[in-house]
Amino acid sequence: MISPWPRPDAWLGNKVSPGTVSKTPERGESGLGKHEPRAVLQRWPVILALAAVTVLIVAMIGLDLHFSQKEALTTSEIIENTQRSIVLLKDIRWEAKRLVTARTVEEAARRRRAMLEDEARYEPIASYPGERKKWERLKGLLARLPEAPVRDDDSILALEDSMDTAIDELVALNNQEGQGHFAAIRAAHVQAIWSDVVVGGVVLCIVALISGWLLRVLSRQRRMILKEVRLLDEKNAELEAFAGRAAHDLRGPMNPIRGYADLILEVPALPDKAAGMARKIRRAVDRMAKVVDDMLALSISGRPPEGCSSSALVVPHVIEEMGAELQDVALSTKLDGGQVGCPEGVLSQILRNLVGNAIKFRSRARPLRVAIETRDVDSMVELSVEDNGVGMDPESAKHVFEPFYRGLTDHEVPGHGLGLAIVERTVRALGGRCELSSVLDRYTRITIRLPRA
Amino acid sequence: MTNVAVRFQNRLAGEVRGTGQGKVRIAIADDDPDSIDLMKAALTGPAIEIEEATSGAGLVGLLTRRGPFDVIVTDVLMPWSPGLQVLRAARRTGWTTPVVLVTGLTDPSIADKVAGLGKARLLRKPFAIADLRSAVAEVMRAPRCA
Repeated sequence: MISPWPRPDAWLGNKVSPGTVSKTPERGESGLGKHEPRAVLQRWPVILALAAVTVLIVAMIGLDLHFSQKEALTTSEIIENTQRSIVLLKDIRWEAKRLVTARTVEEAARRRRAMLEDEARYEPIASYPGERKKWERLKGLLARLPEAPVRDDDSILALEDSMDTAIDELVALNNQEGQGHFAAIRAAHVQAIWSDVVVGGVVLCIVALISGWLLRVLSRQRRMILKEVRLLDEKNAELEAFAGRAAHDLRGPMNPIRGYADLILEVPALPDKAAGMARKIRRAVDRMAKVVDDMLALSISGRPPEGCSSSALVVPHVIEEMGAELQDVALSTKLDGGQVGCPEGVLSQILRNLVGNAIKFRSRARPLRVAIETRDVDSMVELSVEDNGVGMDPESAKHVFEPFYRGLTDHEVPGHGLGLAIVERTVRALGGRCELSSVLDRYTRITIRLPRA
Repeated sequence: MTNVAVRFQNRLAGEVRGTGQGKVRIAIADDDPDSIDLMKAALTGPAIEIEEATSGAGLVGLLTRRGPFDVIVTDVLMPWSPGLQVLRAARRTGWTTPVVLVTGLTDPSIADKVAGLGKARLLRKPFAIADLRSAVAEVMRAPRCA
């Protein structure tokens, strides 16, 4: 069935986006449903992945350092062994030659002892394949050296030649051994570089994969947030349209009640009692209309309005508007504030609420004084309204910005506890904040800070 | 008739520009029958002729078949074409009848839209009878719009 009622905004000629009056998304249809793929970045998998990559990188660096150090130690040990072997062999050759050419028995014995000590030192390091055999042969030749000095003996000369040959062979073998080790070390170096390249590549791949995954999740999350914000905007627009419509539907039936009360009062010779009742009906309807207006204002006060205004212009304007109510009030103003990031209508409404509150909660014991001040504080404009009214106790001050809250002393004053709640919500939506300072039966000061334009 | 109502009758009589044999002709449109009855009761009188409609389409029919009227009093939001839309269309076709729009809506943009019609006043529901009468008298007194 086609509804005879126009869409919420159509009757005003406002442009309605296609999504504005769409139905509320079902569970699972929007990004908020339980069947929706999980798009929100989970904290623990990300932390674990990053921890794994960190551990991997630290382990790689640690192992690299460990093997480099071990390699350096082995290299220096090999070089040291090779050099010692060559030096020992040269010493043995020198001692053997001196032994052969010794002039006295004592000198020969001393040379032999020195030679035997060098032999003992060489013994444990003769470990290279083939070296042992040559060393055993040299030991045999050294053992054949005579105990006493010898002169011009051919056999000794032949032994000396054989010994020289054996030592040369061993020195050559040690040199060869050293070069072999160096080649092995160089190969190990190359291997280590390659292994670093491979492990580094693997780590880079893992990091790239994790980064890609994180970026994908973050981008999906961003899309989801934008979708949610859009949905929220649509819901807010719907809620606002609903609130406006609800206010309209509530005010409609009040019209005949209020109007007929007026007409009853026009009836000639109306008894006083009936006239009193008609006036009460009228007052009740006016109060009800105010409640409806305030509830509507409260429902839309969370939406940040756009625009800017001059606090120095708005304050005098509101004071002029409220002239009748401020007739018997000692009013003072000090306006040093600049441009506020808040539309003029909204700032006026805030100020009207604050000044209206000061008037409503005046003390019967003294004439009412109200001070309105504005000033710039860093990036904010501060607006304060102070009165010397009934004030409030600390408990009431704690709840004063809550909707429908009425303090213990408020019940003599007409109202429904929405004024300051609307102010607070509107100020918060504009990126500002409200503060209240009050002492019972002395004063109340409400300060709002709004961003500068 | 009370003194207040009589004063209103006299006020209107001074504004009549002769749409119907010395009588002030008023078209009232509202989807709420109680509101129509109330407005009729508030505006009625021997020198006043009132016609009523309960929808936007009904108001169009009233204006085209039973017009011209000296003043139109209509609700803003009504079924089958809102009052504001009907009046805009009427203004486009050259109708300059003064209008009083009544509404329970609180959208601040309505005031601008009503002002854009020319020779129009907006009353928010619930309104006082005195305000309705004075709005009707005021729009009738205003110079004719183009």
